[in-house]
Amino acid sequence: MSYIDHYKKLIESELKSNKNFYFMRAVAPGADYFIENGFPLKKKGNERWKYLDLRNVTSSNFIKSIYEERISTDFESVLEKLNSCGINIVEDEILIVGDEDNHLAGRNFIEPEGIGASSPSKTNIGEIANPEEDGFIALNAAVADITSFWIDENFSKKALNIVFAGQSQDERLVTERMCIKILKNTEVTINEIHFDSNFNTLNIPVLEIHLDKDSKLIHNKVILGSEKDMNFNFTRVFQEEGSSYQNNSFCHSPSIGSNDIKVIMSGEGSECDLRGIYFTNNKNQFNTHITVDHLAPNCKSNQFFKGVLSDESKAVFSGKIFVEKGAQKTYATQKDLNLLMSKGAEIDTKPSLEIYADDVECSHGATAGNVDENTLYYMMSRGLKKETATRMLVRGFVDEMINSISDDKIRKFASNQTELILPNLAFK
Amino acid sequence: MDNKILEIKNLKALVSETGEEILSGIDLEIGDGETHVIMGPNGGGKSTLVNVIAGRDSYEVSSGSIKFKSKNLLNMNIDERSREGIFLAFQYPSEIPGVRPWQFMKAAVDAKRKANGDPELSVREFSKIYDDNLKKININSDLMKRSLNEGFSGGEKKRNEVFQMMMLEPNLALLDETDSGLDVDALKAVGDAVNNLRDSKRSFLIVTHYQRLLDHIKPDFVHILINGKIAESGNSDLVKKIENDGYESFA
Amino acid sequence: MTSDNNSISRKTKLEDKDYKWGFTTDVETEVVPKGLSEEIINIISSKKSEPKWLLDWRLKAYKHWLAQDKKEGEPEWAMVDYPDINYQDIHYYAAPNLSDAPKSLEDVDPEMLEAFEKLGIPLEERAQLAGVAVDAVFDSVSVATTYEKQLKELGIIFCSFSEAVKNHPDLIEKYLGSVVPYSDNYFANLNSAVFSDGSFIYVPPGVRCPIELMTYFRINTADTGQFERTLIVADKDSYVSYLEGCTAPIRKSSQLHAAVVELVALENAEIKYSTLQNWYPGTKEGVGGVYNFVTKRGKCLGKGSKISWTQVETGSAITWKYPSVILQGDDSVGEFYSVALTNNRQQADTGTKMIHIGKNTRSNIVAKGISAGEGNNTYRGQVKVLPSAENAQNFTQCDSLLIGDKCGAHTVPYIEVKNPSAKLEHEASTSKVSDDQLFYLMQRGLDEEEAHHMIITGWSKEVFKELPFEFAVEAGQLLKVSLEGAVG
Repeated sequence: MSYIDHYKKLIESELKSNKNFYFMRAVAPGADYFIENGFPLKKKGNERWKYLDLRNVTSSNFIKSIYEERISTDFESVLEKLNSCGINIVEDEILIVGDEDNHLAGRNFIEPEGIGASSPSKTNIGEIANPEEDGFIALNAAVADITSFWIDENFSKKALNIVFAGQSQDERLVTERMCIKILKNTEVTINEIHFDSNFNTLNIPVLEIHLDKDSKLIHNKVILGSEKDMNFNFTRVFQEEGSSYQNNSFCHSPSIGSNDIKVIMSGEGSECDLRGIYFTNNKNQFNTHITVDHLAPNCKSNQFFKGVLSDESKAVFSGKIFVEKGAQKTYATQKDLNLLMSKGAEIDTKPSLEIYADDVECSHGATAGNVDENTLYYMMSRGLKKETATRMLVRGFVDEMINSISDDKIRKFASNQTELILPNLAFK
Repeated sequence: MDNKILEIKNLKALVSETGEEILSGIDLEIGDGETHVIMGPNGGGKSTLVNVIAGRDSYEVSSGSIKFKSKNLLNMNIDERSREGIFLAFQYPSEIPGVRPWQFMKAAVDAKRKANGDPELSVREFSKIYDDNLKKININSDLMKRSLNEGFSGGEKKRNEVFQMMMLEPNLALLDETDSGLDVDALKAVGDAVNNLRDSKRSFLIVTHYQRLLDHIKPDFVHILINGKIAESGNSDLVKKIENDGYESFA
Repeated sequence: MTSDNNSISRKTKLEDKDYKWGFTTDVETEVVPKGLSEEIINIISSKKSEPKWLLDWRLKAYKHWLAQDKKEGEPEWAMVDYPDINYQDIHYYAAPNLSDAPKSLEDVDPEMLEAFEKLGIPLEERAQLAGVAVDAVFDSVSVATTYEKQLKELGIIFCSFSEAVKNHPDLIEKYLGSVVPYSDNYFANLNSAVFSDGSFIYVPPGVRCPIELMTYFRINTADTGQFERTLIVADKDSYVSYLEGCTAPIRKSSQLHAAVVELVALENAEIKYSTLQNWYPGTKEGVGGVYNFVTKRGKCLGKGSKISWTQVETGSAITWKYPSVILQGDDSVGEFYSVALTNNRQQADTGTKMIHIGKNTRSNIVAKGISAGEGNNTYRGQVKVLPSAENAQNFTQCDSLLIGDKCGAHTVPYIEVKNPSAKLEHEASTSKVSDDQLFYLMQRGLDEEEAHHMIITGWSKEVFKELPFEFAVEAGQLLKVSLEGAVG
């Protein structure tokens, strides 16, 4: 249990530093939970992580990353990376996470119209992401760097870009927590971009998003991983009446990590649409964990994910549709399609339904397999090499997901990244 | 003379879920043995009218009355209305997996007989009637070995509806666009079947878009339904007028 | 196989909504004291005059079971709730008081025959007319077997498990625990220690068993857990179809039933195993009823072999059951067809496991769940493709119907693939009975309940058609009876 002792010290020293006491309602239970339970390594009853080997998480005693450490050495490269997304630091609204100087921390930057830092007393940290749900969320809560802000109708930019710049040191722990409130009638796009860093780092970002009545959020999430970093990414969304939440995830697996999204549809007539693609290769392990809770009637949800797996990697999809008693007229679908490209790759998919209301229409489907032999044969008979034909088919498989990204810059970026990723996948 | 099988007075009906009013005061009387045709533009309420008569509960009757054989129809359940003698040939018949047409018709015929105090038909008696009617309407009997309406083409479904009508021998048959999607032969078969069933004890209310069905079936009355109201009633000549002037002239 | 209308109607034409088979018979029963210990296991084994290796196997199982903490041992992942089971408060052995096993029907206790009558078991001529050989298990000891001679001529062994231990020890020793090891899970583990009796079938190479083999299980003695053990071995190129139908009398306290069924199919052999389970589900308020915690598993050991499970589960307070197939032989096939119904306070967590090991192995799963009242119905299934299983294929379809707004329907499939040449497809849907379909049927004069029943039976047909004819008829009736009062 030595690793827990290490984090216990870390937590204690964080608590001593000047944390705003308004945050304590999330911090304290997180600290208690983590010190008691640690990371979710237990085998029995551990549905979420049962297929992943999480031992590496405890292989180093990670220390908290300081922003200066990252940005001072790496700022140029962040700009360069952003450029490759077509995001310009002058023109676009960028929030580089951890930057003490960024406008949301309320110092030097002028707040753009339509965005404001939530006063600590009004922040809803811990209300949507329950620290006791999971050891990772608990650790994040216990030592979180908190950014809390709202967005209203006056926000006129195309998108808010939240950039996780990556690390420049080994054995660093990043525990960003963002509490975002989208106010009534507001429509906004948030691009959440995690760049890879080729260092042994443990990233546990948690986004808590509250959608007020009739608001709409398009949330594009890009996770780029390397052979060394770990990224356990959590998004927790709370939807009020008539709100709409769209998530498009583009994930290239880190050495081990997850894209964990939970949407709580609490208001009647709300909608959510969650889509994503995950690539895994080498010996990486990646968990896509999606939960949609239908708590109110007349809500509509969709989950549609695809995976491309190669080498000796492992991908896990576990999706759940939960329909509460009384949440009548629910319409919910769920689909997970996987291409297994090489011997040694493994997919574990678990699309599940838990339904307690009768006037519902819910469906799910999952497939696993290789590219279609007949199509491949057809293409080869037209003179294409097997490898070219295969790549073309995979590209087509992926494009269905990429094309549904509405933000032009992120769509192009995802498309370019796919071109970089595909040649690295061993198709055998 | 002048026995009315169906009397509709100031009928208003709305979509239960949205509250949208579709029928805004319909008055219609159908006498024994009469054949009425309802025409009108899309969304005018033609389908709604026949579904309300059949008792579909996605519509709510907000006012007015419907009497069938002088009984208050609105107090009756869907199945009670059917056993009382109302038959609806559906515009889009449901596909029911695993249920054979034969089994379904046997259950329906027996349910009606039971309600009338008649004994159930033996398998042999029933099969004879069943096979005779199949032949009359000219349905491929292989088709009837499938699940009810499953894998049936649009035309086959419609023939099956008419076949069921022949089996159940209703007093009032409501035909909801039974002619749409039919080729010339099927149209004639449907027309012949209806004509064969026409007698003094059976009335028809036929919803259609096209005049061509009326080449086969000569109606006694024609009504134009626009915006939830009967805009005009008349005889077959009305059809000619629609042909020439369209519905707008009635609005 | 010809139909036996008499026996079907007796079992299914039922007049009221309550459980129809709630009676107990008054047969002298030899009961071993409650509780579980090495001594009890010794008593069970010696009463059955078992060889030492079998006693040792039981004791090994017992020690393994004992070493597990109850909380850790009982599976916690199933979506079922039940009160704490006191394993020391159960009789682990009960046998009708028959010093000599009956040699013919005349030797059978008349009161027991009457009980079979009420259950609708066609023991006498009817059985022969129907072509059914019945190995009727009354509580724990097999009391009568018919058709044995005819089967003997073909070399087919169909007898009680105890007899098989005496007469065919080598077969038992070879295959017992070869599919479900004694350490497999908490309940199978318990069964391995204390199993009482059950059926044994061996079909020799090249033989196609000409009749459907049938066993009725019945729980009778108060508070007697039943621990059946069934083993079916189909040798090369053979075929056998086995039916199992169950009813149980009303009892005040819940009854634990932890059976184990093992199937072994050698090269090109085929085993078809059908179950119709209608044990006492408890009262409407959820009092009493059978805990049906059963481990059923088949192994397609030989190339080209096939194992097919079909089940219709309408009874029991709790059903915990996953008839599975290990597809070890190349080109082997596994199938699972299931209709599970829960009404009132019933809970079912049932499904299957298909483990693909051999090349070109195929599996097919069709699972239908019906939830009504306050019942909770979970499909839980695992399809696993190991790296060795080149070109494995699975198709899974599971559909759930909800009737009323107080029940639950859940689907938890696990798809685990470690070979890129595999092809897997899983489809599932959950809804209530379609309003359009109901309107259509009711417009033709069927009342609401009848219309529901027709739609639900039709919807279940994909599974029913896998059952032998009279079972299929009975299954439809069972659904109807079990759903009475749930509609409208």
